[in-house]
Amino acid sequence: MKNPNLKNSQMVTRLPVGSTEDYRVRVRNLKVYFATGGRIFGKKHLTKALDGVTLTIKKREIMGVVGESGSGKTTLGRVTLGLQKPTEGEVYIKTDNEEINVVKSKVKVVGRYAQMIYQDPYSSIDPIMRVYDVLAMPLKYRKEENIEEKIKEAMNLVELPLELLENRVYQLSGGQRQRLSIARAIIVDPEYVVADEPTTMLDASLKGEILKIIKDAREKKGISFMLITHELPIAKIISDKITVLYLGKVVEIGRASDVIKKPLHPYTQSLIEAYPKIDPSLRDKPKEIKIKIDVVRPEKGCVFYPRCPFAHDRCKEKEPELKEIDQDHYVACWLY
Amino acid sequence: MGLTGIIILLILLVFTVVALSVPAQVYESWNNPASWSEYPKHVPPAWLGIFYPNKYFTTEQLSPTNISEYSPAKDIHITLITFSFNWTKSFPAYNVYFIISTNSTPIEEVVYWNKPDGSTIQIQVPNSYFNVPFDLTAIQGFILNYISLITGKAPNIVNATTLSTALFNSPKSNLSVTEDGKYIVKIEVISAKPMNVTKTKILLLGNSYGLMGTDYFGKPIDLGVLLGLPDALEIGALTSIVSVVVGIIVGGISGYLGGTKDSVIQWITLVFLALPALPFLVAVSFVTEPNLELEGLLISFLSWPFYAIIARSMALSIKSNSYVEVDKLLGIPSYRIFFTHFMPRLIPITVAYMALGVPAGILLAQTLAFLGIAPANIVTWGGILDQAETYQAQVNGWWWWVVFPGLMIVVVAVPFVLIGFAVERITLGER
Amino acid sequence: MLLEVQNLKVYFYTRRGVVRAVDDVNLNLDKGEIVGLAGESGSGKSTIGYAIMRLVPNPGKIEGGKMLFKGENILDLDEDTFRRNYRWKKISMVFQGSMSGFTPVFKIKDQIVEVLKIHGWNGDYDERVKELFKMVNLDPSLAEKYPHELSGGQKQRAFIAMALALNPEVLIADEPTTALDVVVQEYILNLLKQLRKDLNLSIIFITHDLALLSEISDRNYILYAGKIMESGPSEIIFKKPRHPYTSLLIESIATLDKDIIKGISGFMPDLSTPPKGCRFNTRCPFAKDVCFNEEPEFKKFSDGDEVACWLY
Repeated sequence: MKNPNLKNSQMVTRLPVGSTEDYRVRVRNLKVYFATGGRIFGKKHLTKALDGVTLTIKKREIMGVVGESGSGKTTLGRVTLGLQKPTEGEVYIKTDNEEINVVKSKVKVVGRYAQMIYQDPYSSIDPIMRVYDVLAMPLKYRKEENIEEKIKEAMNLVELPLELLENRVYQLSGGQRQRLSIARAIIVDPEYVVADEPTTMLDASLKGEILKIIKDAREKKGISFMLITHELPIAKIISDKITVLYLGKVVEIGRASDVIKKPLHPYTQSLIEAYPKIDPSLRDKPKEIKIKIDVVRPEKGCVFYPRCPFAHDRCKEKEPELKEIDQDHYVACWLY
Repeated sequence: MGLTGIIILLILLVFTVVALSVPAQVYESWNNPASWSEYPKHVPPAWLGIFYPNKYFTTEQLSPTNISEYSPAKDIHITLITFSFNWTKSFPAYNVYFIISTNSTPIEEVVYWNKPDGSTIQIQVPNSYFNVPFDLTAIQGFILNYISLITGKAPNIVNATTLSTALFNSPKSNLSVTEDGKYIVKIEVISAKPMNVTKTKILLLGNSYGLMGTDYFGKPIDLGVLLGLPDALEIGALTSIVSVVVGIIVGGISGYLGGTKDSVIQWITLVFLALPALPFLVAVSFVTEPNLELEGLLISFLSWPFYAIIARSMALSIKSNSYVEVDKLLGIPSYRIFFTHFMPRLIPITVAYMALGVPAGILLAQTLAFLGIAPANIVTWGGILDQAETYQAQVNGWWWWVVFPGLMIVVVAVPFVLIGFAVERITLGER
Repeated sequence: MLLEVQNLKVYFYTRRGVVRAVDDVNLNLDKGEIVGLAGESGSGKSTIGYAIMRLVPNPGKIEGGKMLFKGENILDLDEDTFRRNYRWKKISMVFQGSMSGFTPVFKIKDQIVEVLKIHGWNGDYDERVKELFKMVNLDPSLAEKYPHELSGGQKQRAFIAMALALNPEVLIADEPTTALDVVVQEYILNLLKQLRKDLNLSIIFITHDLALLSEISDRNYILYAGKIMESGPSEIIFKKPRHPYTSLLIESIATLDKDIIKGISGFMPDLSTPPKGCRFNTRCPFAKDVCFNEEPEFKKFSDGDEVACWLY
């Protein structure tokens, strides 16, 4: 529903009242390609960070995006916020009565509706700032009122004591800074927040707290989250749905419990098997690792084909499409 | 380290104040050789006399021991000025200056120079030198006569030193051995009317002078060094402050903006960087009238790219932190982002570089002065070195003329370097 | 006992003060054992690894203790002797982050051969490199490549190969699987277990990820703020831990069967001014008065567990 009269730089459209499309974030066929290196036999070498990703995040939903390094998960998060422009594809964010075309909008515009929490709490907040200013500045420049109240509310939600407002960020620990990072993201009342590996740089004892706070933010403020992580168990703890990415493609999407308990894609299955369970008595039985580990991205066919233990000829030739197998459970695999 | 730098700087500033309190005429008279006529010419520093007491001595000033007047006949008045001194060095004075000022013009002046062995030289003072200070070269006619009378030949080189042998060496030795002992000099001033002697003294010029010696014209080097200090510091500070501030702002903003704007500014920066500084400044100086502030601005014009490059790479590394990107997403305007994240990190290095930049500015200014490009009416160390080169100080062995100004250029850099490094270390230590 | 570390102290002399990173630590390793050393960031676990290799970086210094390798105190030896006889020869280390270890400007083979040469190993260098690569299941042709041409998992295995070049008896693995994806991680764990079996290699596995240890180690040391809190066989540590820190740590591990993970509130104390009493006192849900006054001593239990806690 695009209004062609709007300028290209600001693609925010008003929707008719009573619009029934029920999503918060919609990603369609997103492709992000980089041309790297020199010419190899006349062809420029293309790196495909994302290769046709489609997914939808509902209102108040926490979507866990799981993938290892090179899967494109960080790129996905950034493109949905307009921090990176895709080669192809569309991203829309929908609020109650507006729809924003992220790809065509300026970052500042998208920032009115969506925010980001970064992986490294040490470089995502300027250490020389006062904690109070970290939260107050974004509000000031949106000409918000009740700044004091909003700051208090945000600090309470992330469980940081109000005394810390007087401190400088460099006096805070990693865990505290990450909470501050979350506070900063939610204080501007976004509809959608991307949390890019929010627990990866924190000690095990702190991860649980951060995830709990993200869940609280969804409960109390109705924010939809894209939780990006390479650890499946982390995604499982608070995600409603999980998307599994492999080399820039979605291989499986479904409800968290379904994906974990009834994984359909061989890659998902191998991930689940690979995660340690705390049972030392099993350690002397060597784990059978069904998938190969040293492989290269194939030119055509299913991108997982070289590593798949179930690969057959069709996988080599044609790319499988995402198909709904169970209710709300999609997989891209020729086994189905 | 920084503390030492600050102390040295304070010492320099004290000297600067002293230099500035020197009256303007001294600055102007610097370039006028006549003002320095009573100084020994091209002599080394006086403290050499501590190490070689028998070789070096300083100027001795003699006041008259007695002034008497009498009138032998009507309309004839004679004023007799008597000086006496004890000579203990085994070689003649460098030169002798006679200063006799009277309130009216005399008819005749005669000098009777009495040596310890009893011999006397009688010198008639030429009319042109009445009431004008004169030295041995002024009365060389008489002295040369005397020399050929005693030795039978004229000296090969005629200068104050060789003429001085006539006054200090014994006739018995054919004017080769200096007589130590009591000398009595009587000056007879004959006038028609009664006359007052307003000022009179005799200067036995030493062969060493002052802290740093003198140049070809007798100008004391220590004075030159002192007088050159305020301007050197001024130009150093001016060029440093202007080029650092301009450079850091341009570089910081360029790095912050990124993209095409950054590339354009980078290109401009590199063009300026590639300009050969010295030829450019020489060329410009032909067109404009040299003026200290203008010179400072021109040097800054060429120095700022250096700082711009540094500031830009600092800005780029600051930009690589995600706190810059997230602020854009939060809707904070660009200028605020620059102010909050970039400025506080650029300012400390700005201060450090301002300190370190001063010596560079001073050196460049002195180099220009050495090449002859400097505002008129100021004293520069480069200018002193230029003169030294012109008058072939190295060939003549007048090392003090070259060493002290040169040393000063180095010494003045020291406190700034120390302070600059100390500031740099403190600000980097905070990271 | 192959390696006995007794009362090890490593202090860092910084401008802020003396940081007691490792303060009186005991650790034993028997032949053919895989021992886990677990702790969060700042606990001192990597420092212990460096200390055993006598590679503690400035401004750190080993300030006390003994390290007995087959009974001989290797801490006493002078640097030359240690380097010639022990480092890389008897005790070897795989460092954290497979990035550090190989210089990008030389081929992998050349770097391994250099290690062999420096330590006076003579023989067919090419054959030995091939042999080492086979040991770690790497295609020997990869030895001809430069480090940046290998994937993370391949680089890590190459580094293990290099660490094994001189046939050490002890291998210290410091976070060998961070930055690797979970499947490769499992592969490396399997590989280490295989190497233990084939070469009778003894391994000290240092990590913050307790879950990994449950898969590989026989015994574990739980380190907190420079001190051992509990040490014992994996069966006890993971199923019936005695120290409050150990149980809280295990509860905070995210596994696929959990729906919530709990955290531990509070912070690690500043090791330049360590607290009086037990170092875990401010964060322990069971802390009593004595925990703030006196340091608990180790108590041995019949099932092989040792705990330093006033609860016992």
